[in-house]
Amino acid sequence: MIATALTRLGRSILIGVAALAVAAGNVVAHGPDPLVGGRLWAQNQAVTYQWRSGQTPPTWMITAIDKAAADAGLSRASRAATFTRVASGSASLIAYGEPTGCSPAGIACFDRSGAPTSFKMWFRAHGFVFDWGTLRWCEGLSVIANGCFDAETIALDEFGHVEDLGHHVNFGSNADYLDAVVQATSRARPNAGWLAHAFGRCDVARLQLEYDRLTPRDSFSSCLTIATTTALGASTTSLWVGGTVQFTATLRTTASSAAGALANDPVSGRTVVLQRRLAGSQSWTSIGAMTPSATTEGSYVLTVAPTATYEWSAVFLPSAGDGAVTSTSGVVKVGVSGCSGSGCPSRLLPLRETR
Amino acid sequence: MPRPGRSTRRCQPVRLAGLLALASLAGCGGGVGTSGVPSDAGSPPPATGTPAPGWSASDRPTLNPTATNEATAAPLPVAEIVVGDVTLVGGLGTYVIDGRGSDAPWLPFATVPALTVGSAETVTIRFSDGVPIGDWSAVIAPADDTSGSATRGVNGAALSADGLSASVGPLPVGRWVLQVRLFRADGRGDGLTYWAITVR
Repeated sequence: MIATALTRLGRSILIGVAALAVAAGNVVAHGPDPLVGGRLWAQNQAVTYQWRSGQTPPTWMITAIDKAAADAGLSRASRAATFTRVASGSASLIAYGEPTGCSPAGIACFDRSGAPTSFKMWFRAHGFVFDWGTLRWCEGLSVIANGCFDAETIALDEFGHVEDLGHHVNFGSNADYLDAVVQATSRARPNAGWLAHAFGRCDVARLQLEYDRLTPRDSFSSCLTIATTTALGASTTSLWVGGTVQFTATLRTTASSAAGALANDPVSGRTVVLQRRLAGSQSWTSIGAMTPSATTEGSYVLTVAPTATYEWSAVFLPSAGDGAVTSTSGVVKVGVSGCSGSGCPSRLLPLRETR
Repeated sequence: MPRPGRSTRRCQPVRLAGLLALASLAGCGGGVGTSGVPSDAGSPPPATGTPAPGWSASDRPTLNPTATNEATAAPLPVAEIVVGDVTLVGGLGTYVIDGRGSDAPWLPFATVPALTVGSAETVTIRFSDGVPIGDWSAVIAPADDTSGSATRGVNGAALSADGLSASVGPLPVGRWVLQVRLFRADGRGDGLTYWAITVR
């Protein structure tokens, strides 16, 4: 096997084996972006920025940077910070042209060490000559040409850093390059990924882990694998034939620290199916989708009128593209007894479901 | 402690154990990633930070990244290849360190320090400031891939028991850009370092 090597100190034994002919451990590749480090912004913090004095970008670059700030807010799918430019009074500065804080090969750079109070961002000027060639921002060209860098894409990458996103760890083939805008290797037109005006799923994954989702109804990034727990309760565990029982399922993420800000969150608006089986049976029969509660996040209800004693459980079935993992509740047994005498219902009702 | 991109050792010929050829390093004296270009790699690259025609003197970018650099006070996470008593600092591309960082494109073959190794060789890589390595990755791309769009994994990647160095190889015969991403074990950051490697 040939693969990207990505190892940890603690995997030395694995590495020793792998070193025979195998690129060591790519097991942690392709996940949520790593963190840059430092303090997070507050959830949904509205962060302003202004141009650094004497380093105001040209109009086309202003447009690109401002659009990237908007892109970050629109595609964050989380309670990450938002960015808006102001004319003055902001502690956060963005600069165009020299001097920059960038390394000799860098086309753009950032400093988030001031978070959650401020950040800095720099962009090299159009026409700057590097060892690797002359920098061309696509927006600065009168006629777009291959080899240019899309300033809006690069600026979105920088805003991702400011949020605390580190560079995505790709497979060795870079087949997953489009999973993140915050990339370690910036790409020029027309290479895949040169034009991206929304965070990728693995950018969003990290943002969700650090800042949480916007609402309990929102999907989890498909770059995540978020464990869930489904619990099931019944309004009664014993009833006469013809009576009804209301089942209530509660769906949450687990309390695992690996889930970060997503831990122990209610999960709303999903498909939770109520199922039953005869006691002792291994075969479940789906009864119906439970209705999301209008008042309690992560709660789903279904009322049924069982005609016999069954064991019941609820199963969460995540939709395609949702990074949550299916979970099944424990079993709730509801006994149903026959009835005779004056206190019984006038007729036996067939199984029915009410929602 | 070697200064990233400033080591005079980079201007010496690089001789590897079991070496099939010597890498003649030209272009010394540039910034990070500007030296070590082999003589057969074409014309020497322009000096780092050379402004485009039409720029005024006052527009000229700073050649010394430390002079006006507000974002790189911490040691840069640049890596070096160690061969015997010779060290070849690579060209630093994208990096993050202590909440600051810089984004760069793929660094092409002709613009990064070069060396030649044998087809049975492995290369050893470490941080220039000697800090332990946490996660790491390594890919190669053909020399004519100037955008890094044809990368692939490498054989034989391994981290040393003490975590201070990593090795990759043997590499396939040919001319490659080797990109190594080293994460500091202390979590302070990571960097992508490039070399032009000819495998014979």
